[in-house]
Amino acid sequence: MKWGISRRNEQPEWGVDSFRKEIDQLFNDFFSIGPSSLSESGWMPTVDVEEDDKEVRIRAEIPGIEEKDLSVTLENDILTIAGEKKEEKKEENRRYVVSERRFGSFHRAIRLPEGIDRDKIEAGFKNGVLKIAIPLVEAPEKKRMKIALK
Amino acid sequence: MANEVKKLRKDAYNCEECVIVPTADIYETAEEYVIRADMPGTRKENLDITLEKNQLDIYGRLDEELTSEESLKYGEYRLHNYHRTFVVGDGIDREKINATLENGVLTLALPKSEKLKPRKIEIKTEA
Repeated sequence: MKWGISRRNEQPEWGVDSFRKEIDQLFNDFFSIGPSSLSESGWMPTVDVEEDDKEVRIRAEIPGIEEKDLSVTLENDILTIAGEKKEEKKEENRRYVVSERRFGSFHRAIRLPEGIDRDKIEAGFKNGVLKIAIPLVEAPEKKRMKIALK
Repeated sequence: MANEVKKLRKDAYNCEECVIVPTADIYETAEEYVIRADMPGTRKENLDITLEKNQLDIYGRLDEELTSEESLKYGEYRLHNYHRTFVVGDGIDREKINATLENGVLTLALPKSEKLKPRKIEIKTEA
């Protein structure tokens, strides 16, 4: 099992989900999704990572969480999204008919590529979707160079 | 293999009839039934809730920009519209259904009609 890739308590397979494993493998070379939920909540937000030549965009679906319970941190080149989805106020004498939603704390780590502009990362949370934009700088040292032979 | 996955992913993205069935909780209290559904990315303006006969339909249109397959590095999302149907009984007060959308979670409160509310039955003692 790859760290952080498989979600526990996976929902019934959907069309796209059944290819997730393959996609994971393909894209693992670009981004590694690091050790994530060590908690037993069995819940993790779904994440999309996009990259073009200007920026890396991360989008995560985290419904039912308040902005104050959400944290985004960057340490070295690891971006971590963490938080806690709390169950709505408990009323007395609730009888559940259907219970599919999951609650609890979660933690997802995404390794960012080199050449990001750390000071210009922007994050916004709206309608249960977290969006993070990480601009890329052109790293001069990454440019192709010729090494002279002596 | 890579191309196959790309194609499948593309098809899944371009699938217009595809919908996501939002995960939901339903519970009952003495006063009402409550349905809560996770619908991240839906805005109030894009949400349609209809009750026809005994069928309650929740439909959420997503106006998210579609990720282009070329730039996608890692994807778990399904960017489709949300749709889920519930069947409700006769015992609800249809005029007083209350819907709220907060942080991508839809809460529907369906009050029970008077006749369904639990009540205490007084026992009359014979005089």
